[in-house]
Amino acid sequence: MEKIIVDENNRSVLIEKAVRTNADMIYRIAYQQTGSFDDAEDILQEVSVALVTKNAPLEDEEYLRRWLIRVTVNKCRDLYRHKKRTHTESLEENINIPAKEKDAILDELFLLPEKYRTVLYLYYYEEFTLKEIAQTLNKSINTVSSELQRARKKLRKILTEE
Amino acid sequence: MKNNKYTEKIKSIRAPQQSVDKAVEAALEAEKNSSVTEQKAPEKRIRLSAVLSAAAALVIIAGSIAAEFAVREQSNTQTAESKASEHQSSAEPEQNNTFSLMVNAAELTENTPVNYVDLDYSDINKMTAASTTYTLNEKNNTLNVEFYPELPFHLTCTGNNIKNVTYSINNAAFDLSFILNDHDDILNGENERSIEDLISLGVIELGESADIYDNDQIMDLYFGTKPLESHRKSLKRRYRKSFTINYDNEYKTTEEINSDLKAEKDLLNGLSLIDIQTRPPASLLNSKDNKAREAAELLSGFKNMQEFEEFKAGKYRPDLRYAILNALISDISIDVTISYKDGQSDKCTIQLEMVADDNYSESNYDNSYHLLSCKVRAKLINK
Repeated sequence: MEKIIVDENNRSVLIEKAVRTNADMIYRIAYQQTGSFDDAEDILQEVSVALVTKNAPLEDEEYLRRWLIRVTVNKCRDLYRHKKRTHTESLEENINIPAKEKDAILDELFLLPEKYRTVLYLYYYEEFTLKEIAQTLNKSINTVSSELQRARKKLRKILTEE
Repeated sequence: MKNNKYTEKIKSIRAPQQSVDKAVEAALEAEKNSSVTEQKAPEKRIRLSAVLSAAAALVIIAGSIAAEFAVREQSNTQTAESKASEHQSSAEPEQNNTFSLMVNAAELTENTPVNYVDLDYSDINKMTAASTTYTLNEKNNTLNVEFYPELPFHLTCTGNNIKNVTYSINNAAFDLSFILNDHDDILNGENERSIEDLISLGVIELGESADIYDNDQIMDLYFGTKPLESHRKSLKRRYRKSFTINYDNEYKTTEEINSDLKAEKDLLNGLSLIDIQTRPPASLLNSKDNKAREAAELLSGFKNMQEFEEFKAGKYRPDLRYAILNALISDISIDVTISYKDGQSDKCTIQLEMVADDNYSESNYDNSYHLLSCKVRAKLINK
């Protein structure tokens, strides 16, 4: 049993700090998963609320960061499933290839399966190790390294370090 | 942040300030409406299922299949021991030796083959990411074909009085990974159980190793300029020509197995097809299919990667790519040996084949072809 008691004022400060510090990260993950800026904003709101309602670990910044990544990925997945269940049009709009701005790099990125994009982001942008990615996303290292390998193959040109 | 075009692009993507302010407001509002409560961490008791089902991602290497096999674990408030004693006290007498195979929750019989790859971009329920990649390994003078439809090959063997089941693959290799049977987690390959854990528990036994990942040049081709050593080692461990699952009927009932199967039918795993034996593959040169032979002839004679790239850009038609996939996949079979507790055994073979499909289509992007429609099925023979 874990009990968290935080001074009310201090908690509000921690909440605001947690949201502002991690907003870009949440937004980037959500955008890469959904391909939609609007969806990314919605998910940022939802994750921020979940931070409170799910009693996120506010006082441990590193743990909080991983917690937020995990919740963001889950929220994106929920959104995807909801769209898949309610989508009734036949195929002018492909939900696997979302609406996106015209951009060669993003074009390549969005051809990747969604699950690869988060692994890619955590590895290249946040510089997580494979082990950290596996722990954060609750996957095995084998799975993470396979996904990273496949993503690297497909996006070799834009992932070559400069 | 590592410096490349990808990270530079991502860096430019920032949450709008207004959106961040709104998010802060929403969080603080939620805080006002809630109070800090004591939380109790949920108890999770893990119980290994007796019968391991196969959530197979097929990696076809030299015509090989890589299969991921799922381990079902269920949270249970009872201990494994108390559940086992309950089961034993109500267990019926041993029945005859029987077995049945399921592929992706559909029973596989001699009369009912199962489509386990069924892509169709005209149907939103069948859409998924899928691609084929054709690369020429100049060092080894071999052709690599990777077919990756991101779909599961979930193979299960259930029955009465089973002691263990051995799977052996022909012209292919298994890629072993074991996933806990939590529906949502399986969708993302989460909660994967370590192969080493399962070996130490006596749940699985590894058979003959597949030799593809002993070839460092092939490994380098797939990993790019900086191979991930940890991944290289794990792949060498995982790729097998055969393996055995040991059954323990002490904890499992048929009803639980059936309910697990329903939960697992949405597994998402990949299938890769890679042929490294020859350039072009012998199965193509000797194929009875005219187009397969035509593809083989076109594929031969490349002196370097540039020629191969030019060929891919101009001459490599979708129908020829289909012919290659068809020839390679049809070489693959899995022999299943079921050993019973009384010393008897049964055997059968699962044959893979591409279903002739006029709608087979791909779109070309960079070095990969993204499949838009494709069907592969498993047939049971020699039962």
